[in-house]
Amino acid sequence: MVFSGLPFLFFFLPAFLLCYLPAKGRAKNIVLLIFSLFFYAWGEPVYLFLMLFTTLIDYTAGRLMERYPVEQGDASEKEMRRKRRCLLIVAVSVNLCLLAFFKYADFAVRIANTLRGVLLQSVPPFPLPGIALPIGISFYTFQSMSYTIDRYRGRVGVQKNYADYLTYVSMFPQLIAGPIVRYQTVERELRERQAGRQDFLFGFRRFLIGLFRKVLIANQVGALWDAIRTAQTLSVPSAWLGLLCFTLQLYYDFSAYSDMAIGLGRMMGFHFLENFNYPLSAVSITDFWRRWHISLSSWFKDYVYIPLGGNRKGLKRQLINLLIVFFLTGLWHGAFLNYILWGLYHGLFLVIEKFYLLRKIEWWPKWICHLYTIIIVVIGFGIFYFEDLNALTLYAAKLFGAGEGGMAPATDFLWYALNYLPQLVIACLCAFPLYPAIEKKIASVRGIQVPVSVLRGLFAILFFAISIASLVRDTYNPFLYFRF
Amino acid sequence: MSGKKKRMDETKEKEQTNTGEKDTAPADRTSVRDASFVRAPEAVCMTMIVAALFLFGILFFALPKKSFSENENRNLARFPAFEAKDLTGGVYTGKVEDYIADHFPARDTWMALATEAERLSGKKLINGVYLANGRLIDAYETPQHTDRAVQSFVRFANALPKDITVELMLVPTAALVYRDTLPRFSPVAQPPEDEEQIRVIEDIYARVEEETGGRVVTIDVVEGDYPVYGLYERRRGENGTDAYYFRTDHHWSLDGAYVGYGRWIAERPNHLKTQTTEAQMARGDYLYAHLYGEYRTRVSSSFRGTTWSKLNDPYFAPDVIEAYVDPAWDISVTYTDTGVTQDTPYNEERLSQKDRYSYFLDGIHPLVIIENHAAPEGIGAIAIVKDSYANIMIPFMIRDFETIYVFDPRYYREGISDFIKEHPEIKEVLLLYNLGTMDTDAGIGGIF
Repeated sequence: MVFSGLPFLFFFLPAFLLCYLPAKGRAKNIVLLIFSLFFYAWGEPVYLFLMLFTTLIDYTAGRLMERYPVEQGDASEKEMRRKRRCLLIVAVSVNLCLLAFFKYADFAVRIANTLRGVLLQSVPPFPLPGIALPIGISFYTFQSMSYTIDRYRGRVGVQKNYADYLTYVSMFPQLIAGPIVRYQTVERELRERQAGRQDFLFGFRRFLIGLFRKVLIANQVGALWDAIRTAQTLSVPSAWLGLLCFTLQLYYDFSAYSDMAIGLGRMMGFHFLENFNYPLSAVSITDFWRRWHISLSSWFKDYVYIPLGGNRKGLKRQLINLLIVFFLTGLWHGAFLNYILWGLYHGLFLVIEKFYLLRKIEWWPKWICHLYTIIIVVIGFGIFYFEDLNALTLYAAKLFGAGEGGMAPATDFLWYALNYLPQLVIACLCAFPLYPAIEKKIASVRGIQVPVSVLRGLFAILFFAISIASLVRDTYNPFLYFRF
Repeated sequence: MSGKKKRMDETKEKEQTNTGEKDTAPADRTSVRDASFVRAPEAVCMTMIVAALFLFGILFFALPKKSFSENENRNLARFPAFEAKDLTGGVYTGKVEDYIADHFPARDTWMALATEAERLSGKKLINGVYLANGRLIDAYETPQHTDRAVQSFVRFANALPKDITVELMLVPTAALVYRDTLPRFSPVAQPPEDEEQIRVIEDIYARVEEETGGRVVTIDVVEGDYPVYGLYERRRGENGTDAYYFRTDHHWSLDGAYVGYGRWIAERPNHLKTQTTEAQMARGDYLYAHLYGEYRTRVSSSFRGTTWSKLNDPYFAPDVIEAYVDPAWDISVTYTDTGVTQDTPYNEERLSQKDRYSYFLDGIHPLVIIENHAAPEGIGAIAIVKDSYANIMIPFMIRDFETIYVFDPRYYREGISDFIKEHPEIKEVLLLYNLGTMDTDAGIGGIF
């Protein structure tokens, strides 16, 4: 089930609100849990058990760590630490093995087959396991793992109630496409949370903003990208426009999902952390990664980069650490070579910036910084899109005029651009933090709050109607981050 | 907000920032607390939206379900029967989602709204339909199964007795003929893509001719010896509008079918031309042209066809249907599946329904037999294997035959070639398909 679909909007959400809002105290979590499990089972009931198993492992590890308290200076401190580390290793290993098996088995076999083709041609190729990817496995595994690691580090308290723990991991707003909410973020709110009228309204507004961004922008530029991608002949400007569209689609799709998740959470009184901070307005690749998919990059930073030594073990080591993190970031996105290439590509630019370019960039005019960043990012998402490397090179040829019709007059560019002009303009403008700036301005002017509020309400209704119309008519409504 | 609650909110926020990562940028939207406060007017509007979520959810259950959408001319999804094997991979729930979309309350109105929003935003290609100058044109997609279509044609032709003439006639869609009306800059209106359909037709013709050893006579609709009727030079209709295709439907109109009939007459082998003399053809009078002008009548002015239905927007005006009615006809038209026999190839009742094109030969039937009681002795019979494009053209052919057997191979399952072998009076077979739906009709469906 996707948030921007009719079943969720008109059946799941009303039914959930009907049960959740009147519930008191502990019952709220139970309602949330039941609806979340149903939400997950809607897409794939079998893998529900996989999620139950994963969470059970981490829950148990978290509880067992309670038995080995670490007290400074105590004689048994070392022994306790050792036991806790054992628990951590077991739990994290199980998590990673499940993730590896369900997500990367096919990939591993494909690589093995490629090597076989080179080295051992007498051995018959291994058959592909053909395992269907469990929805959201990358998200919930990371979420669940963060709990165990933080328990080990003593950053979070124990969760004794399995139902509450499962509620945390399976919570439907963030279950299948993030953000990766860490246990410490919601630890207290799992027990008790305040959700006033303002929270509900604010959350619902945020949800609607996400819905509009998804349906009215992401789906539209996505449709344009599909049209350009499949066109028989393509001029150079159109090829670049296509890649820009994919970048916009990915950004709006994913950040809209985060908007909706954060909004739904807020309606219930949860405060999830922001996941995007206008990444396409970044002034360097370093800046981009502070703004793009924040919950993932901070996860890798805290649980991989810093434990590896971060920047404290010399320049050479830092470089290697960075590349490891970006290798993993790429791999996390999918079991194909192109994702790894994409990760390393970004890692490379990050390294270059860290050791050389960042000092130069400071002196560049702002617009050149934006241009530099957006070009690197857009080309990067070109690598990200094509899982088939042959298709990638074919499209790359189109970008530089080597494809069929590449040197033809760019009338097709006019066609694509004019057909989607309002959507493209709005998508590009809203990629910059204009809205918060306007909001701030409005707040500072006395006496216009009420008319602005009226306008906001009316636009909400208008956009809502158009969104629903578009959902009723169109079957094209993918969520890109579903695959990860 | 009460003072106490506000304080609580503040402490909550403080804790929030304490627990959050210090490296991450501050929340972009929530940080401007005052500016984002939801005031009463907006709150009212949002409450209305929440109410709408509930309302349409309830209406969905309360309203009666239709099994067929007249507007979209298709069967709507039925509620899926539960099967255990469908449970994995979200197959079952996917079907439920289709069902919900198909039966969503006020579906037609929502569709119109979606179209209007896109039209006003300046889009010229909406839901697979080009908003061309003066008409709606379905986007043409190059058939993916031409190999199978060629195979179907070849296998079918080879299965017939040698003394039967087999003709193949592929009709382009409005996207080719009216390519000059397509929106500016659209790639399908630029060379070479604009003549894609001509290339596909020529390719199929060449392959069929080669694989049947020249047995199949191919009929060129687009280019020919009769430029007056060639589709390149479009004739202007009486009211000044071009009328070879409907403006709101994917079929060709009476004028288009008339041209098609002319091309067929001109290109079929000479020994079969019993009625039409070379002299007549030279005059352009091959088709009782003097009669055509006289016998065409307008039967409907409110035709909203399949192309229109993809948009479903009243902004686009309805179309006119004309039919060729020859007062000299003495015929009986038998629909073998229903057993109904009439004395006209038209069904008036269909004109009050949404799918008005079914006026011609009553839409879809596996086998229709048209007998011409006024026919001169021994002018023979023809079998037509076709899609719906033929329905509007066949009435022109009535005078040329004693009997016309009209097969829809998608529904006729008893073996068309066997039927023809059992009817020795059939000396001619015409295969007629349009390029827009050839993929599904002749390619995947096949001819048996």
